[in-house]
Amino acid sequence: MLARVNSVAHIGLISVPVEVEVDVAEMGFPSFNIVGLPSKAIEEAKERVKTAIINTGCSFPRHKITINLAPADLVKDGSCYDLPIALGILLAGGEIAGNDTLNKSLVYGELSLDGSVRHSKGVLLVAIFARRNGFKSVYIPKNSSREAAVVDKIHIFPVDHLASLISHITGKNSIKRQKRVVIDNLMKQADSEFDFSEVIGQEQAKRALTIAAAGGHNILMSGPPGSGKTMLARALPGILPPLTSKEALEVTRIYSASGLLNPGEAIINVRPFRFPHHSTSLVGLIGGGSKPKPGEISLAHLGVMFLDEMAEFPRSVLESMRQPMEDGKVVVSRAAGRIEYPANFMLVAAVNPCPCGFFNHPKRQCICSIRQIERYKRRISGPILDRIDLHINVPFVEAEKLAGSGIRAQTSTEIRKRVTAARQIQTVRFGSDGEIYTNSQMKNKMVKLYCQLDQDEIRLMKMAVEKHSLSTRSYFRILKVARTIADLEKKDKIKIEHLAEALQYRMRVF
Amino acid sequence: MRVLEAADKNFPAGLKKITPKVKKLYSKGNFTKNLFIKSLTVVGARKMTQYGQRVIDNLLPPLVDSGITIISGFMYGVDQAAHKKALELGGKTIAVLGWGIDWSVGASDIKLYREIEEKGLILSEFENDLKPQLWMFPRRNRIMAGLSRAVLVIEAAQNSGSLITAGFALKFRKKLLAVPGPVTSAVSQGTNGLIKSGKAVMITSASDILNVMNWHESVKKKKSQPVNDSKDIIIKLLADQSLTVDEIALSVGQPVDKVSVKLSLLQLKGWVEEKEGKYYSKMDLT
Repeated sequence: MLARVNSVAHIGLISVPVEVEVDVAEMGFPSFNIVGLPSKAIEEAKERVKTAIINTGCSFPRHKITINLAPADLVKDGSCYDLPIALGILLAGGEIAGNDTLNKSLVYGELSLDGSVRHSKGVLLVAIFARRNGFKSVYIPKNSSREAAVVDKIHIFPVDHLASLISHITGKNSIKRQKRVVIDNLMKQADSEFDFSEVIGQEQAKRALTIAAAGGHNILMSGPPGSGKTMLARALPGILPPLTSKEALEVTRIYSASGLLNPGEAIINVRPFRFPHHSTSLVGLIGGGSKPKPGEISLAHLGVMFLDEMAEFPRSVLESMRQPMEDGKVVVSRAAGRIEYPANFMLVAAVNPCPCGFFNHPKRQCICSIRQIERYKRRISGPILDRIDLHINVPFVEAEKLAGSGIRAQTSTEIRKRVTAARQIQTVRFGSDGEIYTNSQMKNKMVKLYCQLDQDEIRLMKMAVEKHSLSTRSYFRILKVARTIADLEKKDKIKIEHLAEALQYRMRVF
Repeated sequence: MRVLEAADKNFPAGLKKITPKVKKLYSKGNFTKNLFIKSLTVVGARKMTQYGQRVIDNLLPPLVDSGITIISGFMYGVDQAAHKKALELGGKTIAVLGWGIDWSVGASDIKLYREIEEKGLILSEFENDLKPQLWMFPRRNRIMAGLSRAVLVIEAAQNSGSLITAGFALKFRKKLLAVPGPVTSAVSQGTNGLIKSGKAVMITSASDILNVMNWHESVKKKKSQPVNDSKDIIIKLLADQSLTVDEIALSVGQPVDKVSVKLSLLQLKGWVEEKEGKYYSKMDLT
């Protein structure tokens, strides 16, 4: 007898339907074969499925079993076909009788030898696929069901064991539907290691980070060791605005597809903050591998990627970020296919001014030669620096200079309120533009539209272009930063003071 | 390019008396004999600090206005800053190279090189495209000391090349001048040492140099400096020190974003300048 169960395959973040066809033939020697370009993990499903069925108390048909994963020319991978295969065998072997609702359902999940269903990756994508393609219900692992529950208008059946799926289908004991999870209720504020008020001094750096967070601008901090670059970056999550539900769904898709959601977790509810070490490979950063996986830049999508000691990263790795930084996405082409991952991240980078780190230090002597320093500075190429909106110096702070200064530092919560308000202005501004969330993502055309200057402002920019020999690209960067500064002050028009402040953060050779 | 033999009548007089003898001199640019009449060799550290830059910004304008030729060694740091300042002020400058006259300089130096070639003079004792090697720089230094009437040292570390030039200046009985620096700075140890040991005359202003050298008679009227808007609290603050944005904000008691705005505007007016994250005043300090 032949049985068909619907399931899904993921190619990157794109899901395609897969039909699991199971035939249990009356004639022929008992055997168990899977066809349809299965990977090693799927080949091994045979053992898991057979053992799970037996351990659930059902009989495994002693016949010739053939499984086809259609379409047959698409390479399939992963352990999520265990459940549909097991169900198909039981249906085709006549162990249980199917019902019509199965035609409109997706089955997805990995089996354990005792028949229980394990947390599987990509469940959110399954639910989204089901919703878009007119499926009524999905059967997914119970541990992962909250992921799917953010999608509305489909029935989600959390399956904890093969036995409960059987009794649900035979109508003995139906599975309770997973309640819908409302994303907005799950949003929370990220915890950061430090509060901004704990960072002593570095007022300019804090101000620049506030602007960066408000407009999603890339920022480069240059300063000697011990000046607080890393601490500032680590404090950054505390001032980032909370994710919107639309953003959260986008981020969670990536994390779900890469299996980075924990069992029971419904959604990524804080902005990602990734800090890859400088030994990270190109594939690790950009994404790739024989089965292309998202890299750090995609995992930092809509969040922050912090590159500490940026000059220590291999040049080739840094250069590979050029195109994703410009486009907000990365296309990974491998033998297994061409996959596009979103990569719209805010880059926070920290560098030392020279190899020894003490160039221009008030107390320590720099031991590098000028040539060494120049070579060190060239390690980050012009095009990469050109894509960074804010460039700041984080000088060494002499503690005694600050003692008793009496200035009360702003807390992260206070700063975050202003950042969030500025982001809301941007959300309204770009509401109709779809893809764009922040000022930093504006293309030149939009800069011209949203950053219009009056006569006085144009005159100032002309002077600045001449004085600092600004390139066209830096000119536009300054306008974008000025736009964010104006947004922080809730001003419609970009004024001289906004431009003047933005000029402070222009690119220098760090 | 032009070649000058020691016997040539145009051969700089200052070089005829020094040892080891200079046999030949290659030149590029505008060679005139009066270039050397009133000339000052300016040498100093490659790792110039903002202090060195400020000293050059302050000392050189009156000298260049008095028609003094600035001679230096085309090294990065003080040397190139002195060349640049002289050119910027429309003055005369001579670069004495420590390598073959035809050796092509790096991309970062080429702009200045062309400018000196066009408006000033480039000299070298070494022919063709001989690459710079360590032994050539002390030889070059003796020419720099020999060409001019006096050697001014701005920022020099212990055991630095600038001190070699200073040594030649004493040997050739030229006037040795030095600008004192902070006792905490490594690149002021050499200059302070020269002053302390009595080998160099301490220089604290351009008029010191003009006095010592008796260059007064031909001093032209000093060009007017930008007006010191002393009402501005930031300009006042930066008059005698270079500070980071944070330090300025702390001193004037204003938020850092407001201070940033002011600094940008002052910078566009050319009243303050920024180097390696620190701001300093471009106004005449005297």
